[in-house]
Order: sequence, then structure tokens, then C-alpha cells
Amino acid sequence: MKKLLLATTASALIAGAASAEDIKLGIVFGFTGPIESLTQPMAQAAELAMKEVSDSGALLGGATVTGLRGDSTCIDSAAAVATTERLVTSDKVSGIVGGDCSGVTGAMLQNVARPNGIVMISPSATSPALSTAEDDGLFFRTSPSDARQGQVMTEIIMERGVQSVAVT
Amino acid sequence: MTINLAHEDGKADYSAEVGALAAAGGELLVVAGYVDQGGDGIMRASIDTGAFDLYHFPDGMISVYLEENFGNDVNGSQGQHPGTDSPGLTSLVSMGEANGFDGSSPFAPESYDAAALIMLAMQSAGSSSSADYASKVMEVANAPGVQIFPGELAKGLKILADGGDIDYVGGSAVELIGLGESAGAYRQIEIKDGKITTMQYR
Repeated sequence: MKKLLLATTASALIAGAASAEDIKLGIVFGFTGPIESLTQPMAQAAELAMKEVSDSGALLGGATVTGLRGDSTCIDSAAAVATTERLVTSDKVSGIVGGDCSGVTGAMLQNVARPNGIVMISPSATSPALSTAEDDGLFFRTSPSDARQGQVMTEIIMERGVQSVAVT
Repeated sequence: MTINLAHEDGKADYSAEVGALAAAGGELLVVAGYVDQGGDGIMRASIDTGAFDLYHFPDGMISVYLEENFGNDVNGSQGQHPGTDSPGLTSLVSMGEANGFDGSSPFAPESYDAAALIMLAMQSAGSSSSADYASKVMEVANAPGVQIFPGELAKGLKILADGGDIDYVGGSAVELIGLGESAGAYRQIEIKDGKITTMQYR
């Protein structure tokens, strides 16, 4: 009986290991280009979160998560789209951390993420235009829109009872 | 708003601009400029002529130069700039040090958070397919639920696996508004006794 139990446990463990996924996530930042000095710590931070989750064994029955870097260039939309397309269609990433600059991020969203139904979360695109971009519910950003500071400023000024302001 | 008059940087004299602003009037002047460029000239001309007593400063104006150059002349004025006192940022900085990167570098906390939200949403959906987990991103990012900070992803995953709710805070004090973008965190300041002081984070 004890042997049988052990055997059952062992096979359950093997089955568990066999079914645990290796999830891939794209990390699409401008590793070359005008913000390249910022993108190394950005990518390392994203990879650290993935390592933390992989090491925990707590995601979806022990899935591991691997980050695959792609270069958005920050400014060349065609290059960013091609990189993202490769990650989605060849590497089969399950989601994308990126893009970084707003222009390439919008291009990646419209040309790759939406046609392929892939979630994208940008940490740094702040253009107000992205607030209303068609996204099929796939696009998010952990950065605020540039319009947001204006809203916060208006709240502060109204709260102190000021009715009229001059702006320069 | 009585007037919205753009000012150029790098001019020697801003008295014409300040004259127009003073003529339009208003209880305070919002100086949406840069304290080491045109914003400095606008302030100097306004203080010298007594055009305005009260100011409001967006992020480009808030620096040590504001204190040094204007200090007690702008007491009672307020402003805001992106900033957080979230304990999550402190955790992430320590984790970055242990892993060879600067966790306070611009957009590094937001990058950790972007990756974390994808994985937490997958757990909530029970699937790594975008079609399944996209709708869970807002749920795991916002209240109600147990707050989750950097270094606590395993805890968040376990709560979700047990059917609980989480409110991911992360390194950048994530709160998603609208169709899924950060509300941002801002430090509201007031100039008191010539010094920039924190009123609150919002």
C-alpha cells in the first residue's frame, strides 16, 4: 500500500512536471537608439519579475516564464513591428512587455498585437493618444498619460478654492 | 483660465509676457515652464513687478533652483510632480541592488510591474492565453484585494490560486484607470518658509 501510494505520488509529480508550461514573454524596448541607457534596467526589472515567478513554482501548476528581448529602437516603427512580429509568430510569446516610446508602441499595437490577439503592457509610453487607441482590450500601460498631470493639477487648484488662473 | 500665453525659452526679458498675463489677471499664475530656462525669467519678471503673488508649479519648475532663486517670494504656492512614497519602490531598489541594476531608474519599476501584471492575470484566468487573461489585468491591478508589492509575487499567485483577490501595488503604485492605464502617482508640494515641502502624495 505504501509503495503504491509512493508510485502514485511520483507519477503525479511527473505528470505535473510534464504539463507545466514554459511561458515566453516578449520584452520589446529600444535597446539601441535614444533611450538605450534606460532600457537595460527596464528589461532587467521585467526579467527579475519573471525569475521571481518561475522560482516560486506557483504559476499555473509550476510554469516557468522566460523573457525574450526584442529591439524596438524607440523611433523606427517598421523595425519595432518586425521584431514584435517575429516574437509573436516564431517564438510564440504569450504576451509583450513593451513597447517603450509612444510611437513604436502604437505601431506594435495596431500591426502585431491586435491582429494576433496578444496582450501588450507598456511601462513607459505616455502619449495621450494611446488612451483612446483601438486596442480590443489588449493594451495596458503602467505609466500615466501625459494628460494626467494636468488633471491632477486642476484638482489641486480647485481644491484650494481658486476660481481663475493665468497660464504660461 | 483668463489667458494661456506660451513663453519661449532663452529670452533675456519676459516683461512683455508678464505684462500680458497681469492684464488678463487671475488669482494665481500657472508657470508651465522650466525653472532653469524661461520659467525662471517669467518668475523674476512677475515678482519684480508684483504681477502675481501666488503661483502653481508643474514638474518642470520644481527643483532646488526654485528654492534658491525665489524661496520666500513664493511662499504658499503649490505644485505637483510625478512621485511616490510607495514602500514598493524601496523594495524594488533593494532587489535591484541584489541583482545588479538600479531599480529606481526611470520606468524600471513600471517594467517590473508590467511583467508582474501579465503573470498575475494569467494566474487569475488559469491560462497563459491572451484571449483568456486580457480581461483579468484590471482586476489584479486594482482593489479590492490583498496589496502585493515587489518580492511578493509568489504570495499573490497563491492568493489567486486559492480564489482570493489581490490589489497589485508593485514598484510604481499601480492603479489602472480608464481603459487600462496608470493613474500615476504625484507628489503635491507647497513652498513654506522658502522650502519645497510635501503636502501629500496623490
